[in-house]
Amino acid sequence: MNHKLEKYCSLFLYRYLPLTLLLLFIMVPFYWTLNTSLKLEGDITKMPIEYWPAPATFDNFIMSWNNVGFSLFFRNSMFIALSTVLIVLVLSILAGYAISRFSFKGKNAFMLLLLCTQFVPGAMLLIPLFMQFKAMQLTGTHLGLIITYSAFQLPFNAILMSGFIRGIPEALEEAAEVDGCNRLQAIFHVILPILIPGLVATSVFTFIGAWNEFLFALMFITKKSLFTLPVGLSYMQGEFDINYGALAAGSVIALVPVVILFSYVQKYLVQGLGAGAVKG
Amino acid sequence: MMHMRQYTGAILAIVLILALALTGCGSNKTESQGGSNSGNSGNHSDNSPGKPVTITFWDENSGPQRTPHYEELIKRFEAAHPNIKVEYVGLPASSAKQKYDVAIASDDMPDIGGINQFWISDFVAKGVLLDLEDYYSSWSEKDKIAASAIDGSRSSAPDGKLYQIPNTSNYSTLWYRADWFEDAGIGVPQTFDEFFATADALTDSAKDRYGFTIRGGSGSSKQLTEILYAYSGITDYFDQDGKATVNDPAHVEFLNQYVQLYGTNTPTSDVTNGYKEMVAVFDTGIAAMLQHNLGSYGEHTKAFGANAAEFKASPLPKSQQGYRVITGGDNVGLAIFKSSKHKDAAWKFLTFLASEESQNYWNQNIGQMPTHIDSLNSDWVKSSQHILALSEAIADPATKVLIPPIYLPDYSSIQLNVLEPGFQSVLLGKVSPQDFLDEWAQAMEAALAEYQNSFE
Repeated sequence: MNHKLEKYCSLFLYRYLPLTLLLLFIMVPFYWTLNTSLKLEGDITKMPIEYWPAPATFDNFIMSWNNVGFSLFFRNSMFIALSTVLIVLVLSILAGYAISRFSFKGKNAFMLLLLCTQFVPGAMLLIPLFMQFKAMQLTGTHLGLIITYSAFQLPFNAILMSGFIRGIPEALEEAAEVDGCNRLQAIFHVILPILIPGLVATSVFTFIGAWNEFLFALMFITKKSLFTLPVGLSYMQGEFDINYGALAAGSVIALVPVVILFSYVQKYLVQGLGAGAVKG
Repeated sequence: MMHMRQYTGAILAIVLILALALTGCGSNKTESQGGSNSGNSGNHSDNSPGKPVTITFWDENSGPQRTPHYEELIKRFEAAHPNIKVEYVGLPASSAKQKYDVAIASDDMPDIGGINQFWISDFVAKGVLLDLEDYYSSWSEKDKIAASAIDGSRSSAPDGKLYQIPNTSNYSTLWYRADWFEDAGIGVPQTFDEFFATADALTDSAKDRYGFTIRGGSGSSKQLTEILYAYSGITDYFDQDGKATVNDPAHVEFLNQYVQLYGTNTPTSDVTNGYKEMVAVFDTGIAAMLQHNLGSYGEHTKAFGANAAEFKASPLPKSQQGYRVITGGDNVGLAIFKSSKHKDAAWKFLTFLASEESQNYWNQNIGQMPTHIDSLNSDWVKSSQHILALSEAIADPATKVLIPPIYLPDYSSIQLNVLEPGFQSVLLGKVSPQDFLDEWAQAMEAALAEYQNSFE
């Protein structure tokens, strides 16, 4: 009995208590954002602090969605993020396949190059990229952002994808080719269904990367109607005027797709990271 | 043959995706073509008056509280000038300078833009602003813009020329809880002795109330400069030999006393307070006094709501010398970019925004001080306690003005990288006020020497 009690105590002390504290540490900012977004403007900075919105209001959500333009920013971000995902997904499958299945001259150098691209800070490329895009009339367009995000996300995802593909036995493709498939058909019919966890992981990483990106979106886009969510959020903060309620509501809106994605694809995500880390 | 088929498939897939993306973006592209490129896009000349032109206007501090007022002004301007269309581009305040920098580096500037006085020297050094002296001298309303504001703009440029017309003035202000002062039977501090005594008298730790709140985090050095010189009465940042006055014994004496407030008459959290946190301390009834400029009026009004009479504004106390010193250099104004193809149209828009009517509308709505003399004398200013208090102090012939050396290219970076963390060390007792002010002086003297050497 004593032994059992000791076991429970140590479980509580060393596992559940630290985990609960960690969870609280992580969740409080989210709770606070939600709490703020549901408060009346006058209650947000009121003392003593109100830990529960009383009365709760959806005015901040309505205001940020309708008046500030978050409905449009949301659509813009969604379009850009999904387009980026689509491009990155297809290109990273092809690149990842090539890396994992073919041996070609300079393969190691190519892999190293892909890795090295991750060391270059985005801000350093801002001005050259801006000038290039200006010459191509891509500044002030979503296409410019999609191309930029795809280029930034592709190397990492290609490496990640190559790890997944390496884990699939080549014999499966050979069997498909014996059955009359060419290599591309074998990829689509045989590899892709097995690759689903990898596809999900790649999609989520790419989506979140494009969804959260701020610097390029701010620099390339000048028209409010083309703003993405992070730019829209920063637009809510004037030098001296900050609309906390609408800002919090906007943050909650921006969080929703990411939270949904994470909660549905968590298992694929962990698997994806693991595969990329060990085999990449 | 097999390989050919593989490559063809891959290429086809890529082309398909790019085509999809291009199709998807088509509508956006069309819509945005007038965006960042529009400043340079038109071929219309201002010399042909009948032809419509589009000018791009960048607002350096946009947001839901201010943008609608600019949009209204643009509507009024376009109605009065049917051949000029203004394309408004709002920039978030925190990234506006960065956006301008990228635009300058990429030669993609707007026709006209709002710029802070602090940016003038940098932009002039980069050679992108239009010299407005000729336009200004032939403007019928040139004498209506407060000379101090125009002189302030000129003094911010390395060559002393006019590159920006200020349409809003901003000055350091002592915001105070009028109701607490009344309850305690204390008057608004007119001297720094009274200021320190008031901060102590209104501190009530049992009620979690403090007499003052110090800005210890981001933006602290600007406010510290204002209060140091307000105390000493010194009006020159450098003496004739190029020695900085910031480590003058009077400033050391003040800072020693000022730092004593921290943790006793101010909350200890002040050490990391930036603008938002500092204003929240005052607005939530934790501190009785706050030093900030007129720009925070909107936040106070929002927080106090129906109890707006509970807070008031006053200029900073008088110096040891008996007069007030106010720090200039915080004006916001409009500048035209050299690259503009529609300079005359941009000037028309600039003069419209700087006119009495526009300044009345704009400054009344954003709660700041106009620069147009008629606007300064208007009824709404007389009924705005905070603006009136500051404008009276500025109009006082005994008041003197300090213009910090914002023309030094290194000024902002020294403030941000040297002074802000340095001041935090002083508050935490790790560095003495004397050492901190000496370091400050040395950094500024080095910046001045470098600047002067660049002309030799």
